[in-house]
Amino acid sequence: MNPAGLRLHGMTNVSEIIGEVFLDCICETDRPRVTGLLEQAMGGHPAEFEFTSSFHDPPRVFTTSLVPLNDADGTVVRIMGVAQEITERIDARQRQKLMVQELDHRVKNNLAAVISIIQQTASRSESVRDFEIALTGRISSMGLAHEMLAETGWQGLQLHDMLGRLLEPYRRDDASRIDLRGAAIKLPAAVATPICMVVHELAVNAAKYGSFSENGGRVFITWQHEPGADDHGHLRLTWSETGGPPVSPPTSRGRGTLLIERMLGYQLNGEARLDFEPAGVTCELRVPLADRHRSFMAGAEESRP
Amino acid sequence: MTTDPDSLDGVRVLVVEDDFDVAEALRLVLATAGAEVIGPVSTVEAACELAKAQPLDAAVLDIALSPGTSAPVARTLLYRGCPFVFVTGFSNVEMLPEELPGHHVLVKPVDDRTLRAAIHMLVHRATG
Repeated sequence: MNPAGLRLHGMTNVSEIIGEVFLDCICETDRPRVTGLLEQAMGGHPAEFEFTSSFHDPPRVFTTSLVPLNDADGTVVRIMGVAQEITERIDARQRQKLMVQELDHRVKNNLAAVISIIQQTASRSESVRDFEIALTGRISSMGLAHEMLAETGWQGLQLHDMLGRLLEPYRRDDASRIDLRGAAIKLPAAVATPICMVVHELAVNAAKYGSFSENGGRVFITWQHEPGADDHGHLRLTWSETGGPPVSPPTSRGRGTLLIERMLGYQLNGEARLDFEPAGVTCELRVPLADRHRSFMAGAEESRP
Repeated sequence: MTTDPDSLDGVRVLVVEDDFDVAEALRLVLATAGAEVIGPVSTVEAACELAKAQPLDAAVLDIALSPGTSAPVARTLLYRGCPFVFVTGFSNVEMLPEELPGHHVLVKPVDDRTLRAAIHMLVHRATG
């Protein structure tokens, strides 16, 4: 075995391999199959195969070609083997398969959610125009979270960046209208989308009845990370409006208000408290940051060697 | 029973689905058809509790839940003889819980009528 071959097998000196039988290097599951191929090579037929090694932890995968070398009479006297490690390639193949499955799952779940949003929005809209505005807003907020998560490879996204992009249309050239203050917090994929949808509904309500409906109105958003003893802790976020028209509690709960109050509790085991103070709406959110629905994609990324 | 072929009048259906919007849609479809919806709930734990304790005629189970899958809920329902249907975003049947083959699977997004018909069938098959 040449020096490159030794390195491949985690050895430095040829003495370490002398006396080892080739088949001992191959994991037990692959051994019967490889034995057959070895016999085939001894019979004069080249063989190509993949196998998992028995002496690496974690196991590594190799591809090998066996070429029989004949003497003048055509008798096989030696077999030349060439091995190349393909663990990374195999892992990438597996990752890709999981990602395709995950994507399929996500697309269908999103379609189901969109249909539901259409039905719920329709039942509470007074005109087709109202329906269109509410619906496009809701679906766009889902889309924004999706787009930003995709940019991070589904590894989670910074809360500050997400809020900045989501609320940009409400700034209207006045930077002081929106005040974002909080530590850097990376939201896991399963947490980012619901938070994005909830904050979207808060902004829509503010534009209809609150701070975003008047020129002097402002929204302060502050947040902090509450560390947890044995988990990822919680996000605590406060949305607070000032300078809008006097607020009175709504007589009936619209779909947006229900979503604000119930989505985080239902989907993320979080909490939301919405208060209609006369001076302005406030909303406090508290959400566990553990990625409860850890995606296969994130899992696949983490398992990368 | 009324003459509506897919009426679910008085049928008690457990709904287990972890997406808030989808759960609400399932609830609405079933409630509109006359069913009494138990839940919806989003976690395996809450679902198992209801599956054990509540009188039920049928159940709708999302497969991927937190944590894991709805398999423990399905087993609880099997044990007490309550029929159920899976709903899932997975096309690939490999993703189904291994020990639960042969159950009706509806792929998301599920059409209202398909869901009503599936529950109707479960209930009528169960009562003969």
